[in-house]
Amino acid sequence: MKINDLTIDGLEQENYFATQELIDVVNAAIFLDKPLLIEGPAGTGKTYLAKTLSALLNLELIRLQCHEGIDEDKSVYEWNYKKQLLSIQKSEENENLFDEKYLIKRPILSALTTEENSLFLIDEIDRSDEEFEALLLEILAENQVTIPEFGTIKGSENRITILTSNSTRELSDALRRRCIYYYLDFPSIEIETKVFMNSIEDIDENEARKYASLVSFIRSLSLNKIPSLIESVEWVKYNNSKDQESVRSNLGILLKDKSDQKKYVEKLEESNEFNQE
Amino acid sequence: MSLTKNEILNFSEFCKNNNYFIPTDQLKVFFEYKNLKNLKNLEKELLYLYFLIPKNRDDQIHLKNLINRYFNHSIENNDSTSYSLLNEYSNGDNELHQIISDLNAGNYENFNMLVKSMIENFGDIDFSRPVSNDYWLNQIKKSVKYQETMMLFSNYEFDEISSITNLINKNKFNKLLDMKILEILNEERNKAKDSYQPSELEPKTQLGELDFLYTDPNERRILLEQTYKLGNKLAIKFKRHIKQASKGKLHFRKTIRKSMQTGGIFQKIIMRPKLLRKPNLVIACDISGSMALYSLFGITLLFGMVSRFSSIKAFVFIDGLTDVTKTLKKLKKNEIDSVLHNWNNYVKNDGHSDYEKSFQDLIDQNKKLNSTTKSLIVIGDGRNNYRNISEELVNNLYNQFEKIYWMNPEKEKYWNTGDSQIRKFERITKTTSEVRNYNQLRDFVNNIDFKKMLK
Repeated sequence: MKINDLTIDGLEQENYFATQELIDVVNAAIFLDKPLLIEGPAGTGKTYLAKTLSALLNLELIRLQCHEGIDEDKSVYEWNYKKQLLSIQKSEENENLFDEKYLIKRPILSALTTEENSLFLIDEIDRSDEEFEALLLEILAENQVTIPEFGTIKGSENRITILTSNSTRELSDALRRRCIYYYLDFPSIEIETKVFMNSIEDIDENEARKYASLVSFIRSLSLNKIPSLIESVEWVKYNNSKDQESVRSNLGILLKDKSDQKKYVEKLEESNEFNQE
Repeated sequence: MSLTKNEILNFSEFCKNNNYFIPTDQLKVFFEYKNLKNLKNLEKELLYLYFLIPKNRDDQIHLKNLINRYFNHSIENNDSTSYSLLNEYSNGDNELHQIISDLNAGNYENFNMLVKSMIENFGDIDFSRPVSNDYWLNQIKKSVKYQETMMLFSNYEFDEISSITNLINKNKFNKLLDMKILEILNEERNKAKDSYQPSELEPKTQLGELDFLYTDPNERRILLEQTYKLGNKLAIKFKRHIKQASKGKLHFRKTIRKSMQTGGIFQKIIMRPKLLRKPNLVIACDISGSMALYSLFGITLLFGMVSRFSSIKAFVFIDGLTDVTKTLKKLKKNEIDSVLHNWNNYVKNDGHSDYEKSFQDLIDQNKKLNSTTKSLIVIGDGRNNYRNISEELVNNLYNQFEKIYWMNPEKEKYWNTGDSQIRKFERITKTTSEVRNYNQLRDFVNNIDFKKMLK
């Protein structure tokens, strides 16, 4: 697919704030026509990137959410047994039961065969089993899928593929080899400031920056559950709207673990002591 | 300036020498992209070399360091280096405001002047004294000038959010200041003749090569996180190799249910999946005093494995064996060091490591449970405090566990010196490796071949 290079400004119009690095990688993946594998902790905007791209480039978004036990029937295709049975009962002789009209297309097959320009998102690939990864290899590398009764279906060229992973499981090298890889970490202070300013009404830059550096400080404590971008935005939004200057209020929005909250409050005490010295 | 094919090939050779292998097909992708996009800028080319070749986080960090070393070009980090300029700074004397806005603007001249004056004001520094640079740094930290500079941060009244921002600023500034002082000290001392360089304190650029003992809390946090993942990986690796054919007996209920779709005609026969054998593995970690910080990494590895499968048994030992499988399961990731804080719970006798007693316990335990486990991973230095280890015990251990893997955190040149009795165990282990840093740990995990382990 021929697409002009993306820019930071372009993505910002769709309310996605990215680093130049990420945009370079996305451009390379589109240019080389290779799938893009994005890995990183939960809540850093991996899925949202795919959604933004589909909105920005006007692509049809086809999403495959992976889960444990996902298999060929649920992801690629299935034969429509009822229809096949009915057609037998109509007793049309020499009817080919394995025809395209009896085929139920699941996300992968519909992504391959769609006529429009599309963006195929395989979400949380690490949740699926290893066997499923092997199934994807043919689709990712050769852009085709083989159905034993039917033959090989070639995919169309006008497609961007994005895979996301939370790295709860090591993906196989065979899958990695076929992709372009990017590790999306938590946003830097600059980017988080932009996000705050964009999604929260009446917050000035100085205030947003303060909050952003506070959140990045919280993430640097060794916590059990690191707050994601959405959580931090919600927290700042609520605190700002209620004019609650205290950083101890409504902690439940940001930190969802008792020992984390305790740790955070302890750190606050420390900084207070330092300032009183 | 642009990269030629030869240069890339040389770089690839350089990587190979440094334990990083660049696959040919990945290089092909890079060249394809380079030609199509007509890249001419060295900086851009290196950036894409970094983006297009590595396929996981570890490799990415590794390659980044290699590029840094080979081309002398650092790929920019995502970390923000700028300081948040608080409104409060502009009140009172403007010194801090000035320093920070200079740093934000990338103007380091005044800052360098400040550091130089700090060192000069300190008075006579005798650089020929055989102490490390860190010693001089600590001396300078006591000086009035240094203290005054750091005090700049506490001259203001803040509200609660700003006070944390201020603290972050201060820590960041402190780090920068210390680094700069060390840099200048290093320069000055190199000018002086016979400057002293302690070999162990030489900075290692790569986190993976850094000795666990010399990590600071931040680095340790990153490494422990990776160690935890390695534990997961090791456990899963075991599982993968014991998977057998997936088809078992007929699943009657599901077959009938499926036939409803086709009006009661059996079109598809459903089989029960064969139950997976669970990984049977015992892993024991020495947490006695001689193991120092290494036992923390050992326990993190244990934790990573145990949190994945209930059938993996984890033990710690000093002068007797304790099963910590259940304890570890209750813990959360950031509470692992609590095992070491409750050290005295695991002392059975006198608190000096006793391998004979511990392994005897292990053998008894295994016999008592009538366990079929044949694989054992030991993390320990084999220092037995001048107590004897009998040949009989070693043989018994071998009879009980046929596949023994040993991680020794001690330097290989010190093995079998003093009270180290690692030689006795080396005879029965599959591998005995020195594991002092993350890279060695990763290699150890990657090289364990469970396939051979299962008959």
